[in-house]
Amino acid sequence: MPEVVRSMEIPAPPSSVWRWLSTQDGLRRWLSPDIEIDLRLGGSYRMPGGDGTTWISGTVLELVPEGRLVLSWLEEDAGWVHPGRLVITVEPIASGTRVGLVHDGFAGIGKAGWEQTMQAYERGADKHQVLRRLADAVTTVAA
Amino acid sequence: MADRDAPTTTTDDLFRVLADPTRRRILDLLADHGTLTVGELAGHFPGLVSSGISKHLMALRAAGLVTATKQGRNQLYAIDADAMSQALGPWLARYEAYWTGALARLRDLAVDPPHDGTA
Repeated sequence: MPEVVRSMEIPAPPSSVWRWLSTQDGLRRWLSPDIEIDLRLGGSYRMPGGDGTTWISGTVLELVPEGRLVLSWLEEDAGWVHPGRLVITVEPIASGTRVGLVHDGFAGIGKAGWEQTMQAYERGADKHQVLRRLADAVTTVAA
Repeated sequence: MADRDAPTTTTDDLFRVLADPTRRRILDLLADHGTLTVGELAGHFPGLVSSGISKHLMALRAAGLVTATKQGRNQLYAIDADAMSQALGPWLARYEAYWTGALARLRDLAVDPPHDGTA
């Protein structure tokens, strides 16, 4: 699969897991210490990327309590833009909770849900136009 | 099934192909519509003759970014999502480690919450 796919079993009930996904403070404890997020459908977020220079931004595409959190994922100033999604799922299992994580980039193009992601980017800003900035950076790389 | 005989392309080639704004616009349109014929694409580029569109489509096909499937007298063009994903290899590698770490932090928090004793 072209995406990053992870899954983890956590020996705690889904409610104990979800509380770390359902608030900005909770997300700051594990996702990114500086994330700013408006945790409702269509709400926007921004956080520093893992490398310390890139910024990630996007919007909340889905929010199902103790079920799933889906964010559109846009890498700013990374040279090129990866319009993608971060999908986090929470499901009860006998031993507690299974948390699934799927992070895709262009893998989403043409597949179900992609249009929604694209619209989220287009709402974000014209500078986020899909593929446009991708190629600006790409030009630099290829030069 | 769509043709998959496109030659293997290096990431640099891919980037070069994508550096052209018309080609990026074509990819945007294909992402929007799923599949389009040359004629349908040409409708979005009033300043370009169809042979110009065809040339861009050839470049995109050569790079493996789009596929063409024959339907009657027309070729239907679509984005090749797999090729796109392959170009993302280095990007994916960077996030593999990041997400492994993030999930481990989440597990620790859920199992053994700080301060306020839930669990």
